[in-house]
Parts: sequence; structure tokens; C-alpha cells
Amino acid sequence: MIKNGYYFFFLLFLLGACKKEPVLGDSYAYNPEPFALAIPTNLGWSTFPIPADNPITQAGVELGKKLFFDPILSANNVQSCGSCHMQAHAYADTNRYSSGAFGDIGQRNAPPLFNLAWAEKYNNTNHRFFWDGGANDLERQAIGPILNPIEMANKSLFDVVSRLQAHPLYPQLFRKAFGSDSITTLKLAKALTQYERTLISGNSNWDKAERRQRLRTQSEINGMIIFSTEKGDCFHCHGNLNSPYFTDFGFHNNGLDATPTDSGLFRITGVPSDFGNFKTPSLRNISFTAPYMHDGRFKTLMEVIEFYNSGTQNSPTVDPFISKNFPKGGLNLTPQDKLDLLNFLLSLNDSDFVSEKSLKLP
Amino acid sequence: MTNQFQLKLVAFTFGMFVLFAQGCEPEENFPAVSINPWDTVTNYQGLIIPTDGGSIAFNMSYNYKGEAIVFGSKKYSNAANDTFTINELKHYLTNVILTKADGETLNLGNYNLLDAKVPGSQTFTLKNIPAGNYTKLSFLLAVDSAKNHGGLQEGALDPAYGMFWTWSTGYIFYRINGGTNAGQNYSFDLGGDENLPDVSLDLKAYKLKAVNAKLALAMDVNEMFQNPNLFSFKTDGYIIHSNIDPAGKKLADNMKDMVQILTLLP
Repeated sequence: MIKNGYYFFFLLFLLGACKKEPVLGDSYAYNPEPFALAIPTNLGWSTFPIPADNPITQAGVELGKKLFFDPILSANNVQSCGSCHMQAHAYADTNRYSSGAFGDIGQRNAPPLFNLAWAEKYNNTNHRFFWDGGANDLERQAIGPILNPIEMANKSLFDVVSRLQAHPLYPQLFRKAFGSDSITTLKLAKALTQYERTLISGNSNWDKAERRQRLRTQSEINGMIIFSTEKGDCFHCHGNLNSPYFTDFGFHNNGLDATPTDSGLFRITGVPSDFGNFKTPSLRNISFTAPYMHDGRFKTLMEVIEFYNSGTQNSPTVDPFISKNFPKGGLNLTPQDKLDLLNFLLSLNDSDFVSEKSLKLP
Repeated sequence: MTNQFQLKLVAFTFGMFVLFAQGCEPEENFPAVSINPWDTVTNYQGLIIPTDGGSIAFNMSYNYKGEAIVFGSKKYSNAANDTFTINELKHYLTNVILTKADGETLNLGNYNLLDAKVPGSQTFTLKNIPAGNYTKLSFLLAVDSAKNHGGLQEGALDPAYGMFWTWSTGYIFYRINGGTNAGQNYSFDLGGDENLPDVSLDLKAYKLKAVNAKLALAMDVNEMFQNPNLFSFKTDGYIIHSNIDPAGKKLADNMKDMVQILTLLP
């Protein structure tokens, strides 16, 4: 009896040992548990396509978030993705020209990051990301800045991968997300983009009004009418009111310059009509994303409104919806119109998105 | 002798048993010594792989007008009288397609990155080739459009190899660069869906039956600069770094005949 009891306790001990060890050692075990995406419910939102070879998992998003904010991705360990893509600014850069790891100044303003995956649904070309359409999917976009000599300035992705491989934690985190300690370019891009796909902004005052959670002000309604009619003619490029994205995911020359100095999409496609075409940015979170335009030339929203009202320039590739107003000298908005339009634009700010804790590092 | 007889008897009895068990199948199905139909074929052209699961071992070598390339120092000249050195030469070789005598094609789906300085990269073996009589072999000195735009890839197509435009969409199919006697270096990074040099090699001049064949190929770099387009560094440019440069198209058209077969051996 005593012998048996002893045996029983010994077995229990063994069982405990067996149970305990995997729990401790396997907190980084492969865990493909899906990430629950929160896609807003008001009018017009659709589910977006998630690439079959890169499903969004909790472990992948956590890893992607850590990578996004880690300067280890830059050649000299000083710059992360988050250095230019600042969460408090809807992942845009407050500097006119974004500067790189070694202080080199680029020629463009880092664009905001949110609702990106819908571009893969609504833009059916090979040109979806970067201001000039130089990347056709998020995974490919993600490695661009890492290798760009004036951005994160790595000579080779192999350097980046070996830095991550030598890190005390990353191999385990990659194992948890992808099932193996072995880090590759592809897994790095997959993790970054899983996090990026979770950057969903859909809780602005406009969304709340759509969901009948608040009433629009009269000025917002007036502005909405200007936005969605020929009066302001914003909707052709920035999406109609049945679409919650406030971009057509396309590329246009909006008449910034009579002679564009940056050729934009043309540099990528070589198609003459693409000269000076840049990606239509979403108008969401617009208060947070200043300065405006691909080169950050406008500091304030009123400057932008005034540009469209009276400052657009003719050039061979200017969008027809811009040039059609040239004969009448622009949009001819009254000061009240401009104020109403501004109020409508401000209703697209999603202050929850720019402060969302789950998107930050713990 | 007796042993063998006994063995045959056992095999026969077992065979009969199986036959009865299966409900008297026709006698033709009774296991016989298999004869490979390709064994009897004698009048053929090209390559016969007599059994499924064959292979072709590729080996690429590089030359300039027939002379081996000396990287960095030796001076070469083309038909347009440009004089230059070759410092780097790398390229993709993908989508080897075998064509059978009856026209049926088979894409072996390979993606190889070859570096003219790295002998190990110039040799690769494509396996699991089904039996057949193959009379043509072709491949791309490029990456096909689907992979050129379809997400990130691993293996030879890993962007970490640097044969990838991170600011634009797609792969650098072919890279060659070096110095010139015109006081500036040249650098050609070629790519773009419209510039897919497809190399087609006729195997009909060869006659070989082999499960594992060895194909030695030679790339004459001089052919980039002629046939059908006379390419001149001075007029077409010293730098091509984009898939949309028309000079790149000119080179791509010339590249279709830059690879020839040296030998096809068992």
C-alpha cells in the first residue's frame, strides 16, 4: 500500500514534469491562431482579400508589430518603419521630406498607412503601393524602404535577415509565427504586412454618422454636398459617398505643376500619360497626415482646398476632372464653401485609430 | 537449378491463385517481362528519355566570341566598336520547356539564378522528367510575368539576391556591368514583361537515349550587342536600370540567340 502510494506520487511527479516542460519551453511554439480582424460595419465596407500564402495570425501580427517599430531593420540600427510612419499621424510623416537612417533626405513625404489591403481588391493593376505605384503588393512594398539607399539603407536583405537571426528573441518569434526559427526575406515581409493589414481605420465622425451614432452638423452636410458634386468635384478621385475608403486607389495628375519635376507613375510604367501621376491618398485621418501631397508642399488643409479652388496647373497629363474647371478659373468656392468642405474633411478623422493601444508595442 | 525451378513453381502457383482470386482476368494481364517500348526505337531525332523520372543536368559556360571571359581586366569589343570590360554577369534561367516530337510541351518549372563568376551556380539538374522523345528545349533568360508580379518568392527568386527592383515592380532578369574606354562605366540591368528573351534550342541534330542526360550550354555575351539590333553603348546608353528603357528591349531581342548547345551526352 505504501509502496503503491509512493509509486502513484512518483507517477504524478512524472506527469507534472511532462506537462510543465512543454508549457515553459513552448511559449514560442508555432501558433497559427488567426487574428480577428475588426472590419467596420457601416455602409460600403467590404472584406478584403488576404493572400492565401500569408494568412493573418496573432503571432504574425505581434511579430510584425515588433519589427515595424524596431530600428534593427535599418543598416545602422537607428530607423524603424515607425520612424517615418508615425502612429499618432495615421502612420504618416510630419516632415515634408522623409529622412533616412543616415540623415539623407528623400524627395517625398512618407504616406499614411491604413486600409491598405483594400487596394489589392479595388486596384487591378500591377501598381498599387508607393506614391508612384512602384509596388504591386504589400509584401513587395515592405522590402522597398529596407533596401532604399536613402531610407533604411541596407546593402542586402541578407544583412537584415542575419541581424534578425542573431537576435536573442526574433528566431523564437518567427518560429511562433511561421513554424521555424529560420528567418527569410519572405517571412520578414509577411510579418510586416500582416501587421499592416490590421491597420484599419473606420471610426471617424463620418462613420459614426453612417452608423446613426451621431448627427452630422449642417456645415458637414454642406461640405459633403460640395465633395460629392461637380461643385467641388472631389469624388471622382477620392471615392463617392457609397465607398468608405475616400480614395479610388488609382493614380492621377492633380495639376500640382505645369512641369512636374517628379514623373511619378511614369517612372514605373514608361507610359507617357502616366507622367506626373501619383497615388490618390485617402482623405481619412486628414488632420493627422499633414503635410500634404507626395512632396508635402502644403502645410495646412486650407492651403490644399485653396490649391484645388484656384491653384491647379495645366500640363499634358493633367486629369480631365481638374482641367475641366480651367475655363472658369477654378472651382470658385466661396469662403463659406471652403469652411464647409473643411468641416466635412475633419469629420473623416478617426482619433481612435491614431491612439489605438493594441496597434502600439506593449 | 532446382532452386530456380521451385521458385518458379511457387511464383506460378501464387500467380494462379491471384488470378482465381480476381475472378479470371484475361491472360494478357498476367505479369510478363516488361519491354520498354523506347528500347526498340532506333529511327529518331533528339533526346529519348526511356523511363519516367529522367533528368537533364545543365551546365552553362560563358564566352565572348568564343573566348573564355576574364572578369574585370580583359577588354572586349562589340560590332559598334565599344571597348569594355565585364565585371559582373548574372542572370535568371527559368521555365525550361521540353517539346516532344509530336509537339506536346512540358514546362519543368525551374527558377535558376546563374552567376558567371560562380561555377556552382552554372550547374543544375532538372529531375522527374517523364519518358519521351524530346526534340526541342527552350527557356527564358528572364522571369515569367506571373512570378515577376506575383508576390514575394523564395529560392532563387528571393529578392535578397539583389536581382529585384525594390522601387519598381519586378525582377532584374539579366545584369551585366563593367568599365569602358570611354571614361565611364556601363551597367545594364534588364527586365520587364515585354523583354523576355526566350531561347529555343533544336535537339534534332542530336541522337541520344539516356535516362540522365547532360546538356552543356555556352553563352556568347557578344551576341547581346548584335542580331538583329546593332547595340552601341555610345548611342543606346551606358546605363539601363529600368524595365521601360527602350535600349533594354533592343538587348533582349538580341539575347534570344546568345545561348548554343555545346554537347548533349549521356
